[in-house]
Amino acid sequence: MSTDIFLHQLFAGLTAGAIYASLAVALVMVWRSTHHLNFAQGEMAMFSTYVALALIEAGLGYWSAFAATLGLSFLASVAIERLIVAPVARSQPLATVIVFVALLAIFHSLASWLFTPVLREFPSPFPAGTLPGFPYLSGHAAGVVALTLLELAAVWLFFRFTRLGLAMRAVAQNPVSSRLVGIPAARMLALGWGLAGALGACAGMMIAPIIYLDPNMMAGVLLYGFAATLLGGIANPWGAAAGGLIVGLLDSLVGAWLIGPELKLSFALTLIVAVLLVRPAGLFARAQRSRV
Amino acid sequence: MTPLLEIERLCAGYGAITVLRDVSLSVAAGQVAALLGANGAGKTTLLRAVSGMIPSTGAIRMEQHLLSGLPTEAIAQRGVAHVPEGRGTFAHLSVDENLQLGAWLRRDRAGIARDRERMFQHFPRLKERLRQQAGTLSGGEQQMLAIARALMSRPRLLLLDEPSFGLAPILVDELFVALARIRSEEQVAMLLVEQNAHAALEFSDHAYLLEAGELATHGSAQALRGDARVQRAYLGK
Amino acid sequence: MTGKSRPGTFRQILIAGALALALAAPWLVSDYRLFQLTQVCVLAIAMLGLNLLTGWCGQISLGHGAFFALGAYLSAWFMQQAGIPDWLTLPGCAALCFTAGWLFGLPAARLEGLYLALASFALAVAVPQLCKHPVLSAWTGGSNGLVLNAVEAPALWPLSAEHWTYALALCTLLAAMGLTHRLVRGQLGLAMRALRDHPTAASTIGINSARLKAQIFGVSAMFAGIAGALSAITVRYVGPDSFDMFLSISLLVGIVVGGLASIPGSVAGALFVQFVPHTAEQISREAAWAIYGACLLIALWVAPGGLAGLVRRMGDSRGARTTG
Repeated sequence: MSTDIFLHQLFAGLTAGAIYASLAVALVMVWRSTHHLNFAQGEMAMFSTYVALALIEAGLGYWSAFAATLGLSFLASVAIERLIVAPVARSQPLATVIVFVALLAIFHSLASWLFTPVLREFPSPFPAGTLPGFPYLSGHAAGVVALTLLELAAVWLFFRFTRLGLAMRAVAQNPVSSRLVGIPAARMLALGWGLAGALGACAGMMIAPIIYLDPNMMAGVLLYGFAATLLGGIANPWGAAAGGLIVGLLDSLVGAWLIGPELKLSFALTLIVAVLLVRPAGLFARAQRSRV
Repeated sequence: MTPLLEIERLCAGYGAITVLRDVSLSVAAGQVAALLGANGAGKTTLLRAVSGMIPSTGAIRMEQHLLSGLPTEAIAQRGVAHVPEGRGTFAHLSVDENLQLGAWLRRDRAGIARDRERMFQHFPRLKERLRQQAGTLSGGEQQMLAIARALMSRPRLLLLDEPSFGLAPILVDELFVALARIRSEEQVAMLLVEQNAHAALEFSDHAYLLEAGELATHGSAQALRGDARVQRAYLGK
Repeated sequence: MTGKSRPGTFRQILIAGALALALAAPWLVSDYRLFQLTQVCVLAIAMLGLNLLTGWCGQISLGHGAFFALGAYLSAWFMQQAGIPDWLTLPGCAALCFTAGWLFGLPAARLEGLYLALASFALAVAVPQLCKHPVLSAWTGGSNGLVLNAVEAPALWPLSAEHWTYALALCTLLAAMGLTHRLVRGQLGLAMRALRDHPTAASTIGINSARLKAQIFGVSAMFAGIAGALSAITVRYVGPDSFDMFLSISLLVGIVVGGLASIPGSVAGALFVQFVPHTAEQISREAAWAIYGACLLIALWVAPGGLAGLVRRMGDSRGARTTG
């Protein structure tokens, strides 16, 4: 095991970690604002990425397409929350899980149907090739890491220090009391979804240049993103980032040397579950005590 | 005195079950009205109807503005603060965050800070527990927090649903002393639902008695203290 | 009381009618349809198991496909290697899957909600991968799976293969429904519901939640394992791709759409999961899953309490209203 190869694997793991973390941010956003985990987030992000590609191919510059996609994803997510999720959420919590299954199926299938399921290249706004003097990280990977950290900081600051963030946390925990203090709960839920959709779209557009765009792009990422989120403690974006990093490194290092690709996924998940057994709320979660 | 809150022929319930029938009452500005009645008489239902938490027929007016049919958050905007049954604190948020949420509708930073200080004067224990998770507070402290949170919005009308519930007698006394102070300093009208008829009648100006969803009688608190029906409702005489 | 008897009578008529149809099916439908109905019975048994855990006990599991697979592989192995007749493999599979479920449930009891979902999902993902792995392939047949000989009805009853497997599946389903009914009506059912609705309070009245959860996991896994065994018996093939994570997801979809904590709901869910994807594919091959997703949304919108609840409400509305 030469140092060179090890470093390559290490930074590949770091890059992967950033990928999982970027999706995990969207999951954390949805969770903190609605107390639901939207596991269709990955497929929606993939669909957004296809939309972005279509816009770019239609002639829009990269950043214009990027911004437009964020906006469209925001609006579409708000609409989905208002029209599809909210009416069902009233009945019972497990029904929302099935709604997410349905959304996952719909977006995946629509993407395959509307956009040919062939691997597509997706452009990156960051300089191509590796960083000067540092052959282990490509320009794009460094860009993804930086952008993900930025997103994490923004989400953390948002929930901790802004009036809107506090309102959204309140609505997720106790919608009735939130309305009693004057918070328009329904609008907060929709806003949470909208922001998550935009964050997911951003994640998709960052991931596609690395693993190529196709309808199955997000399937593996989502699972790891989900695991990363829970590993880090679902309410904490930094925890999700750490979780993403750990999962990415596990995937890269363990997969390369210990287990081999067939069992990689199972091993990673089993390890995560083992951690959860010791720390049931995630590694970095604050203990939530409850009274009867 | 023109009433602050006016309820006319209110009917409300849950699904197919009607709980309140043709209930009318009013609360004047700065006044305290008590709503008494046995368990299941509909007292909580009435407060929920005023807050828009459940649908209702009949008219609910706040100073001539119609509240009926408005969503809960809009009613809160009109100056109604509801301390619900079970307190409704945000258990996983800190005491401080609970108070911030109480003032969510307001934008005047200085005013909010001043009001916070006043809350700490009413309820000193809250200041000690500022960073603590609200769900870990004792029952009495949570009640204080719930009331403080409601007052942070500078409401004109405070709806209190059984504030003495589950509190030891000494805490109940403390609570009503605090409420009396609030009443004189904050000039807020109150509609108080209470099982503890004695304490409620001591504290309020006017009282209403609900029996099986209908208004059985009403009058000044003094008059109702001697009323046989009130005694029957609470003491089974 | 006339008020109460009308909805009850409607339900009794419905149940009697369904049972009659089920019994008469071999003579009413084609062999292929009968095969599909057999699969409905299989899925319904697995869904009853999941419903016990998730519907009545409130513990979400995204991993019941794993227990289903376990039952299937065990049964296949018993039939192929030990020469045991198909129906006789059921008790063995039941016992072994109960144990597996119980063993999983013990540590899993520490997890709640999402975390339990992830842990069980990890199981669902791991099992097909493990089945393909060279270490186990001697037993599981690796990626190719195990192919079994054709069905042979027992010598006593001269039934065709399809009739025999249908009869076996239907009888097992009826037994499973009976067992579920007894479990939820008894002390166990009360404890389960207490755990679901008020977990903190439940512990204060002496309900050992970890032990209870492990027990329910065991029972639930047993049902899934029996279903898996029946699947092996009726399909005559077990392979890792038959038991991927979609199976686990479909089981959950079925119980929510059909009706949580409802015995007829489990059957309704099985019917939905068996026939709707098939129909969706016939409407449009490329967009099949999109149509399936849309059907799910429609089902949830139309029947938020489950399809079984919808039918019950239709029956209630015919009878007199009871006022509170």
